Amino acid sequence: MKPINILLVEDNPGDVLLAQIAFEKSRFDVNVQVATDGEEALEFLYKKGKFAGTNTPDLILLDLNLPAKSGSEVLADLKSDERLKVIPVIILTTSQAEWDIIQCYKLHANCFVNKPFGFDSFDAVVTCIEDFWFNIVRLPAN
Amino acid sequence: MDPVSNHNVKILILEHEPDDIELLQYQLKKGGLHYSSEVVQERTGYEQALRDFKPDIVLSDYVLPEFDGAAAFYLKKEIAPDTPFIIVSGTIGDENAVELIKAGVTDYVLKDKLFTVVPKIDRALKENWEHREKKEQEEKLANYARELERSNKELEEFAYLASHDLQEPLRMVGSFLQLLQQRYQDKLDEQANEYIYYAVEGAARMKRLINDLLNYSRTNREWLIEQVDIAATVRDALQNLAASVRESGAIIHFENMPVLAGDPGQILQLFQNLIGNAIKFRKKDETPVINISARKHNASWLFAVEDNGIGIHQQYSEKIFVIFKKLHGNEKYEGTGIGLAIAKKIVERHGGKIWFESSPGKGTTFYFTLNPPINETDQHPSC
Repeated sequence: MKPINILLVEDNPGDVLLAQIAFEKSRFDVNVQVATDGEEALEFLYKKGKFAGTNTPDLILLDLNLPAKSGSEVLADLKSDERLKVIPVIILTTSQAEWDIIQCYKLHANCFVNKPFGFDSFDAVVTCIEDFWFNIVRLPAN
Repeated sequence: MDPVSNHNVKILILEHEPDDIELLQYQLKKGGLHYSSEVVQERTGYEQALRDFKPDIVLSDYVLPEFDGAAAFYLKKEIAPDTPFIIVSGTIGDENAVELIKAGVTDYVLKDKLFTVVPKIDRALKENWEHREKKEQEEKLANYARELERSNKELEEFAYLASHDLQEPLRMVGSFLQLLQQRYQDKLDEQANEYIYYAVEGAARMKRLINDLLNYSRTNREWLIEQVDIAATVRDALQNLAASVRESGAIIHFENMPVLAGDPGQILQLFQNLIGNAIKFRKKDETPVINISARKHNASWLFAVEDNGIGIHQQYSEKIFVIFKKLHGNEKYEGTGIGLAIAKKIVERHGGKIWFESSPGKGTTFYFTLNPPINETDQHPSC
């Protein structure tokens, strides 16, 4: 089975570390790559500059509260790109605001998940995400 | 305050006939008015006096050589819109008078009834003063409403900020402490583990406080009116409390619950908080029994949630509704102390009151009223 590529768009190094620790224990062969802001995420997805030759991710984990270009702007951009719009995007945020939830689904986010409190809950959420998106769901092969 | 007698009234007189001016001044003095006046005869002087003399009232002839009373009125309307304007004329017809009053002229005085001028000035000034007072009041009210709206908005923004920016660093503290606890427990001594335990606890409690604060402020922001079936609401509340109901073996009675208008989510929260408290503050050696009843009281409904728990001393009757106020330590009863503060807010938003009667050691009954804001149906579904 070929490795699953995940793009994590997250500016908080603590959250990046938590996600990496959680994915390390994965039963799947997961390759997590990180973009720390919205611009970098789009450069990564369009394989610009230093990202030339990178793999197109199978799944995107996207924070909303990002410096400069916000998560919802990144979401709007990539969901209006013919090639990128097929990649599932999971919003991973602390925001519980109804407005954010509606806005993200309107912009075609595939799901909206609140960052849980505590490592155990974080780990459980990551396990659920893996199980659902890598085991239950069928994603495009190419 | 009497608007007229307490200060010197500044009168601008627009009149060109010297005899008429004299007669008018005579009437003003005779009427006992404290006043100072300026007399003008033509347009430029009139305009200037409106600006510089700043009269409290204008008395104007109707027929003037250069321009007429109507033109003088419209000019005043531009320069001093709030100043009363009385026409003093020998020739104004009824029709003209009606037209002018319609256009906003305050009053008119016929020259052969010049004795009415002082009472008419008095009345005009009084009405003008009342009008200005009313306008000021209205402006004050509008300002107050704007201020309230602004502060509500600020609160909303605060809640949003709290959810985003306060939870973020706290989540880091909690998560990494937990990781530290799990991965380094064996490598640290007992004291270090105790320190970590208290830090984890603290972070978790802080998290609950922030969440509760958000819930509390949300009570203010969101407001929905629907027909609420209270029996179904109580069942939902019990569903949400299923774990503690099962654990405590609590027996809950409720019957003859009404259907009334209110915010369904908030009323659910209200019952859940009260029933939750009744279970939480139970006696150790007794099965908790909770009776919920409702009866119509005038236009509103009076509810009672009665328990056989530990009871509350009457001295805490006000304190227990204060946000984050707890009567017991965290070791004994967990919680942030927000349940009753939210309950009170919900009841008050529904135009009601909440209070309790209790005998310590025997039990507590919480009473509250709900005032349906719109037409309610008086159904009594069975449960």
